[in-house]
Amino acid sequence: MSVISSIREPGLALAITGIGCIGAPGRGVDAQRAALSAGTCGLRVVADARLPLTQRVPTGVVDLRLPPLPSRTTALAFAAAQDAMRSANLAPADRGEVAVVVGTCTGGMPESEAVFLRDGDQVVSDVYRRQHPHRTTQALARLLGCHGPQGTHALACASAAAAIIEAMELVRSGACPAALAVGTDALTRVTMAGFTSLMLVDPHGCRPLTAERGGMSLGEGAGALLIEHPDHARRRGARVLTSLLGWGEHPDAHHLTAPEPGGVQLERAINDALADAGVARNAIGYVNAHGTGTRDNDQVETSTLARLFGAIPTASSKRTYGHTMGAAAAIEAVACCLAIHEQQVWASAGAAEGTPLPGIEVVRQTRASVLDVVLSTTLAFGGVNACLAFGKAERCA
Amino acid sequence: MRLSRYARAIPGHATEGDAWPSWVSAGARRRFDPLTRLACATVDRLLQQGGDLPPDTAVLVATSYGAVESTFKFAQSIAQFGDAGGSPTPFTTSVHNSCAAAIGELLRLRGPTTTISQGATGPIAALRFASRLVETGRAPAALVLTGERHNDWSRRVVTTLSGAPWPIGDGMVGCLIEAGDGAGRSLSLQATPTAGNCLTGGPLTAQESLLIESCIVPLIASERLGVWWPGCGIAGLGWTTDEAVVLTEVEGDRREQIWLGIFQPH
Repeated sequence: MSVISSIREPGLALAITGIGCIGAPGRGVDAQRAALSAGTCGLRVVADARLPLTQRVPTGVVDLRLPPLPSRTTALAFAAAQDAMRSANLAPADRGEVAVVVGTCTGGMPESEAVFLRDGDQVVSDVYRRQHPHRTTQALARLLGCHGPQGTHALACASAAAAIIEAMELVRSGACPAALAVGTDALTRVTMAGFTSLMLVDPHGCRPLTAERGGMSLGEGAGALLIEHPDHARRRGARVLTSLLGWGEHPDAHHLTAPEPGGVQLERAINDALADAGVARNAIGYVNAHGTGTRDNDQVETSTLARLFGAIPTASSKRTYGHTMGAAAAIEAVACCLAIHEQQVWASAGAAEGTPLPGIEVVRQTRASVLDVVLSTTLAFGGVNACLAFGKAERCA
Repeated sequence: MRLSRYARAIPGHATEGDAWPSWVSAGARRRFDPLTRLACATVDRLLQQGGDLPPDTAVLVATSYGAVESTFKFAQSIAQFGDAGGSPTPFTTSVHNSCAAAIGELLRLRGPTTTISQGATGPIAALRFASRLVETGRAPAALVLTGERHNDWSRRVVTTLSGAPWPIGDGMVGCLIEAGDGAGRSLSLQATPTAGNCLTGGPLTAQESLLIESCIVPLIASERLGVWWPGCGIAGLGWTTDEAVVLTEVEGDRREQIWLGIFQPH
């Protein structure tokens, strides 16, 4: 019988042995590396009947054939998860105890909203069975043969951060030897219309971390990490790409949609992640910022980072992928893994054409750097602040 | 770990309901979704049992439909006025974690927070994560809220698709998880008296089937609540004050169990 929570190893550095990603730049690690390195703008105006608003504003749409699954969100998740499993070289026979933890905002909403908006509220369609977020988790577990614990987090734009955090704690607690953490979201009309109603969408495409920023651009995609206990990875001879060192999460308890201006809880989340990772501030070589391009988010985030780290090299990938909401923290975790693995700080897409925000160093061009530990920050609806710390592979040896 | 406080709120039931507590401002009452109102009513009962919660208490909400009334209103607004005519107020409260965020904002709770959407096994998934947060010192306590507040549309959807022979109702259970000795029920995710691994899927054993029937069916029949929502099983704790129980939840082909130990009265 498995025993949960009897083995407590808080602070244990974990091994990331597999990564997968799909987004506007394409599918697979090579596509991400190329887009991040070049600081590519992945936003396009696409005439897509599913998303009327995208005919008028740039978004990060995935224009690829996806696995034939009942929901687009699940199909994106499966593509990323499949790639992560392949890169981890974890054979189907060895996946039985692996946990699956998913973060998503929209679940099967693209399909259910299409029925609702077409047929009205009196029609009950079988499609509604697919709308719940946990359907994605169940599908991944079934398709990949992972029968460990399951978790499904719907924490707005921090959903993937929550999924990675729970995956970490499941492995640290001994509940499972490895956990697949996935963040996934497909674009929906409701999401597009919602952020438009809040006047948070930049009609020209987002310009994060610049003085010229005028709002966000939405996107879709998925990121996946296979997180293993280092002993398990070692026993099976797995190649460790990077270490997952720590996490922190503190909500503002301030306002549903506006961040607390002082960034006090974001600072606590970062400090918790550093403490969990067992590293000092001066070990941090790069920050992947949430950097949505909205006035408030970028102001709070950069001023907090500047207060803690001074002129730390910082980038946002939102102009490359669009804001992929529930997927964002997982896609950006993949970007962090690649940064450490390649020893590069990625350019903040769009920063070279704008005026970088002061206090931090907004990376204008990708360059080589000696990176030991990097951070990824996430802010979300409801005042959520989360931070993840990644390190070189040797840190979990 | 122990479940130190426990409360439930069930709208429409003779002795329970979801009226706004006095600590929720008029502005908040106007903005928040009925799911959040139900959560506030539940939390109010928890507060009456032992006072305010520590400032870094974690907040975890388990719900499948979330703030469905807000989602429905927002979808209706774009159906009526087009994509550029969506109403921002229901959009902000339609986000799945709006209930957890509202509770955190109202009570100034700044421990880790999340919203778990794990179907019928959501409550156990939330208790599992909450226990971990407390035992690793991430939070001094964890507030777990689990339930649903349907509107007419979602009730019709669930009734039709589930084919359930009982009416689909609403309700919420609130639990406070704390470390150390004290009043409440011990809570353990470890060994359970029933066979099987609580982490892996598989068909129910006959013993587990009996457990489910002995817990949930009498709850519905005897109390005539007409409820079936995530948390329904754990709501049965209110009827079992002196016996250790195993909570079993089933979602599709997957079962989850949690051992809720001997009850120690306050």
